[in-house]
Amino acid sequence: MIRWSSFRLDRVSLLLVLIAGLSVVYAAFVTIKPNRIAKGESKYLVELLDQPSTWVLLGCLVVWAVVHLLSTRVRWRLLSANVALWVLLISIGVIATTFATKPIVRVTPSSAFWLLFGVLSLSITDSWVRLKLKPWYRLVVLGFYLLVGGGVLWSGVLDDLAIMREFYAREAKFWQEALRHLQLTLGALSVALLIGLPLGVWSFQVPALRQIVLQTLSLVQTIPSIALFGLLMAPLGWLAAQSTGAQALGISGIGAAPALVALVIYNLLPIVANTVIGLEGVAPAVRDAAKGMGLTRAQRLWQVDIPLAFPVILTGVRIVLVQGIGLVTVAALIGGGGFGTFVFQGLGQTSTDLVLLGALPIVGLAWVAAVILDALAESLTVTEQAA
Amino acid sequence: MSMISIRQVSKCYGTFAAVDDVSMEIEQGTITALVGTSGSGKSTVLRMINRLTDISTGTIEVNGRDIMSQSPTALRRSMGYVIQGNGLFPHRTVAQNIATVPQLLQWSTQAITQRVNELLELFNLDPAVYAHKLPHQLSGGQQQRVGVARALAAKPQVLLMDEPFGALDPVIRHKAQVDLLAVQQQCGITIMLVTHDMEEAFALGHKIAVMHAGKVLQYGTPEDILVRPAHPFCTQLTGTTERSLKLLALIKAQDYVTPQTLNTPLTLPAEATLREVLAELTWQGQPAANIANSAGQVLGSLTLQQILRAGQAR
Repeated sequence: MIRWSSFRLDRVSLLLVLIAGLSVVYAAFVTIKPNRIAKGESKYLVELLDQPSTWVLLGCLVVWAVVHLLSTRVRWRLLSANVALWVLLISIGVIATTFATKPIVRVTPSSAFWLLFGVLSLSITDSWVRLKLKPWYRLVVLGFYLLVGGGVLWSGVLDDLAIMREFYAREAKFWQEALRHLQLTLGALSVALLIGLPLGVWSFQVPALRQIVLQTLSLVQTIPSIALFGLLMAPLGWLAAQSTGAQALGISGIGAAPALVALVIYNLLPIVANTVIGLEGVAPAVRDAAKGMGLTRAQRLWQVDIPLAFPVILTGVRIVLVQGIGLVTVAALIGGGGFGTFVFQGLGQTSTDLVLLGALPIVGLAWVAAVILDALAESLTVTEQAA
Repeated sequence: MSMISIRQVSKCYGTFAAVDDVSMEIEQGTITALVGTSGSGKSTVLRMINRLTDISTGTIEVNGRDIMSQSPTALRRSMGYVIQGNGLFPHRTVAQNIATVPQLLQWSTQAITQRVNELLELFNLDPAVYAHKLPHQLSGGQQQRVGVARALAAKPQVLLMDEPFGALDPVIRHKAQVDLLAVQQQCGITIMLVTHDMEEAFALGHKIAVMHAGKVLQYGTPEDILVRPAHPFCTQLTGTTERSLKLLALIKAQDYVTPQTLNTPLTLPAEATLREVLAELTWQGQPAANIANSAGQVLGSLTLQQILRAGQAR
């Protein structure tokens, strides 16, 4: 017997189920185009009822919705949402195979697919958050999703989707740009750390310097990225023209060099600001005791200040990585390479699928970076002593 | 012999003298309490001894050696330093915290482990339980004890304490004071302690220095401060209520005993203060008590009359 007094419907679940329901009925699920740039024909899920996979998907969605409306058990919610998500991915692949009869035909997921994907991802994230996992377990969970996701891609189920056809058309270039994207992001992070950490420590020790440094870096942060790339073209181009050494290093007005410089400039604020905030958070008594026990300046910095400020510095690194993965996209405009190349090519050719081929990996990378660094920062945080 | 000699020391910030021409000799193996209100310069005096604050004029010698003749870090490593709120390193375990100075002095790993365990046991903290805990997992009293243990780790001859019990509640605070006295007697270390609490100074100090506006108004035994205040401010700090009881609390029964055994059912320990003897006599309704040492040997007796005389103003 159901005890209605204990039955509580949470509003978030209700909203998610409502969005899912509305998108199934009122939004197109796939678009089928005769070629890669032609306008296509939209199909709603209800128009695809002759496909067995549609029934399986609808069944899974109903189970998911019922579980979310009636049960607060996290395990059931997690299981139903996961099953629905993987079935959603596989069914779009199967439907694509059905309609993409000729190599020139393109089948693209449409708004209903993306809404369902988003709703189910939110539901899964919400459940994992409720489980309050230890940082290292979160990384294991992340590894699980990456493995299963990779498995689905590798199995070939999705190969007839337009985005995968775009991928196979330029597979070598895709991996090359992926590598370039990571190189630019991590390179800019490393250089920013090399400059930003000492600058942060120095700014902390000299309060007069702190205001100047932080305000200058905040100001730089407000320059639109595209403008900063443009502004750097002139001085770096001049430098390359003046010195053959600079040219030999690969410095020029366009390409990776100005992209890297601009990214480093953007990355400095989070690194410097978080280093300063982290150092400010070290209890004065701890610092006084360290000094009074005879630790040298360097020992105090490396053994006390830096370790205690490290979790806060790490959240700065998180901001830089997630922000950087997105910013590198714009670098493609000045020949810097990276996934942005596909985005801007796609925009030029009005090919949404090519834009997605650039954009989806960027979103994925940013998400993975955020999860890993959150886990790292949390595992390193030491609870401050009382009193 | 003096362990610490402070000679005509001043600390000036511009024209303001935070410490103004202070001179003190601190005997080896004693506890000296620096008492005063906040801003009196008492912490500054302490911090000048381990060079956390630079001396403007004057000299300080520790164990016969001018503190300016050695590097600040070497000087600080040779002294213990305890502060309010203990300042334990939150990211290091109890054992690692205590090992800080021995590690700086590059003791062998074995010697460090042995010393850490020795100190944990001295402060009633089971090494098996506490060595690997982090400071935030301890109670306030335990943290404070680890703070003192850390300061004693490298067997310093001098221990500097800046309001060491300031963050503790009254019950734990009293226990911490008793523990400190026991440890001090056991290892014979010279302690300089800063406090704003006159009761604490009376409970711990062999000598008390009363500071006000950068000057030492009086430097003497607790009895001196109480009975012969050199300045109205000293009287203000000690308070005029219960002066006789405070005085009685400074005298041990063994130092005032009459070598004559009386016929009384009450026998009290020789380490008791006259105040405690008075309280017990009053409670039991007895006019006198015999006094015995820890071996049970009767040293003599104390009468109510004698105790009341001891508490009179001189």
